[in-house]
Amino acid sequence: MNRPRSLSIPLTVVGLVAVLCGIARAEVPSPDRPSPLRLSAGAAYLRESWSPSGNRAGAVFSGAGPSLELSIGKSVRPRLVVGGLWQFVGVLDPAESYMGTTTVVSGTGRFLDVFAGFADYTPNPRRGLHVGGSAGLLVATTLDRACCFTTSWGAALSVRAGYDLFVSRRWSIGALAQLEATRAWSRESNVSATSTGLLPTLALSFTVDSRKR
Amino acid sequence: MAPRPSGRRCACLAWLALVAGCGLPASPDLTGTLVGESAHFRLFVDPDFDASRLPADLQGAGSLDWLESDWTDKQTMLKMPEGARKIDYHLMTSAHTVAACGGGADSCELRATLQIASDAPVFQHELMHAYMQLAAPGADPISFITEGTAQAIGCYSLPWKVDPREDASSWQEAVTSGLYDYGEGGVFVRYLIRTQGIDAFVRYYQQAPQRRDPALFATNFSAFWNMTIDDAWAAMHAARRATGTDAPICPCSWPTPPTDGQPLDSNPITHPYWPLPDTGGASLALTAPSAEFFDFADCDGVAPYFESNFAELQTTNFAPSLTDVAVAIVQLPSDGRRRYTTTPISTAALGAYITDSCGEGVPYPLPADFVTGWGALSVMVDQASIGGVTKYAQVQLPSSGVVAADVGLNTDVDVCDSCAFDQGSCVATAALMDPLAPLYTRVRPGPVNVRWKVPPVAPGGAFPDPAGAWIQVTTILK
Repeated sequence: MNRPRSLSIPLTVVGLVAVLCGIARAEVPSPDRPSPLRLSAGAAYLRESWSPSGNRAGAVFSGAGPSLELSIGKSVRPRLVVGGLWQFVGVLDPAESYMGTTTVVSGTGRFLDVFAGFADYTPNPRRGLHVGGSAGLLVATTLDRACCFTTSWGAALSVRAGYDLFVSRRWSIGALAQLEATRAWSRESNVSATSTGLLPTLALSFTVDSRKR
Repeated sequence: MAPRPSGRRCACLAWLALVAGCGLPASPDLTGTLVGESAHFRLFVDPDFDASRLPADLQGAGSLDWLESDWTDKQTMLKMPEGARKIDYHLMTSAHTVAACGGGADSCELRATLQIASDAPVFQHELMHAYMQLAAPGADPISFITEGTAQAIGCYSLPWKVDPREDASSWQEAVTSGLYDYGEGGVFVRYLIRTQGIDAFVRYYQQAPQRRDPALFATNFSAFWNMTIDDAWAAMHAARRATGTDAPICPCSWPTPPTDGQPLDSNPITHPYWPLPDTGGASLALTAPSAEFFDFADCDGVAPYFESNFAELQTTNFAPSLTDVAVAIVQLPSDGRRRYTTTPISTAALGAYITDSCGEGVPYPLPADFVTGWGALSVMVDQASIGGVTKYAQVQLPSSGVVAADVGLNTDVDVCDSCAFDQGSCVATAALMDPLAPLYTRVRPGPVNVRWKVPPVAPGGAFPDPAGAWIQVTTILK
């Protein structure tokens, strides 16, 4: 069973570029926001290696899906924001490669919830570029609509970079790119396994200073 | 089938949920009036169910005996615990069954509830689902395993020939697509039971994965069985190709019938099938009621199934309905396999009834009302390996009649009151088929020899359908 190549990522990139090009004309100076609240929506591509214990053959799961992230931070120093975030990524019908055969099991899904702390640094307050990273807890859910779902726990670590364009003193819109590494541990049907994933994400972000001044 | 609860609700929750915790929706309670209860079953009948179409002894609570017979038989393999919850069997109209089961299924077992909905008094497949819930409580493997198990054990009067065109392209496709759950699922489970034993299989079933995930399935499989799924899959197909037959495994736990010719309890409710005795190379003569045919199946499900012709004339008003006018004399294959028949046999006798030479065998006395009941006689040998030879059987006819060429006597079979076939009055059937020749052979009380020129073995050793030679006797004198 071959999976048609997903168009979601290219379409998202095109959309982001178009939106940012339009907003760039606003040229509102970048203020320092004490309590930014950010909502990011985009697309992610998951590539996850599943390795059972006991030197048995592993599998690779891959697929693209939507990503949603909500973060709230606090400016602890000029240009440095720290806070917490929740990110959700859902990959429907991921392709599973095992022992040379790739299978797409219809009606299945892989869902990742990340609860993490983050730090975001803006090198130049006059520009919208910001970089950062996060580390936190991963809750990975595998769903089979024919029966059930299972949940495993793990950790997630990410690096990210974004660019914000301010449309007002409180609001900005931007792009956020993230590369996240995940690791989850599971035990199901007497099989203990480790899942190690790489999750690049590209998203459109909306940021608002949640504290009125 | 065992319907699974929709995952839609769980899917929605999974999108939103931060952690797991979604419960599976409960199965609906089936309607119906409780009409009786036995040691292991409660029988409910849908008020709209037309019980009059069932035989008299299956009406009301009558089918509880049949259900208990099935339990007793299957328990010898699955070892369901006594004292557990009873199985609720709901006899329902087809429309109500489809509505209860969903997905267009005409019967189902609502998983985890021990409720069966069916319009048939005993549905072995659904009963297997319920038995497995008792034998492996809490287990809920992928449908490839659950449906395969329900298909793996049963006693059926069906050929179950192998058709490789129906196979999945890979085990990954078979275990995940849902399209092969009944076919190759059954083959796979039977292979495991035959090679590893039923007890080990029930233990495997208890811990097999729920999710359709090829890697998880394969890893769990190899950890449990200490062999790879690739090896098992290849061996399963090789074994299947070698036998050409893969039928459900029948426990064959009932006692074999006495072979003294005395009347048997042929009630299918208490004897759904009869395991056949080891004949030691002799032949077995069986009788059955009017219009019955004789089927022969391998208890392990790997040897070919074969069945006799049946006397369509016995279904008409011309012939009285009698209990012993369908007769088969059969020489079972000498492969050492245990066989059974689902035919409601009324007597069984063992003797050297089929021989290679005329007059050498033991005459088989046909029932007293054989001719008046328009009796039919089948002579059967192992046509998967025996062909191009001539076999003889001698029967004692109780009264006068005719063996009529135009009602089924085929050109491979001749009858004669002596061994002087092709001489005098014993004209070969090939000549009888000549338009100018008489169309019947008159037979009188006393010995009648049957000569059967067994056709060459068919390619692949397949039994013809129907198998054996067949003669029809009537009282009509042309």
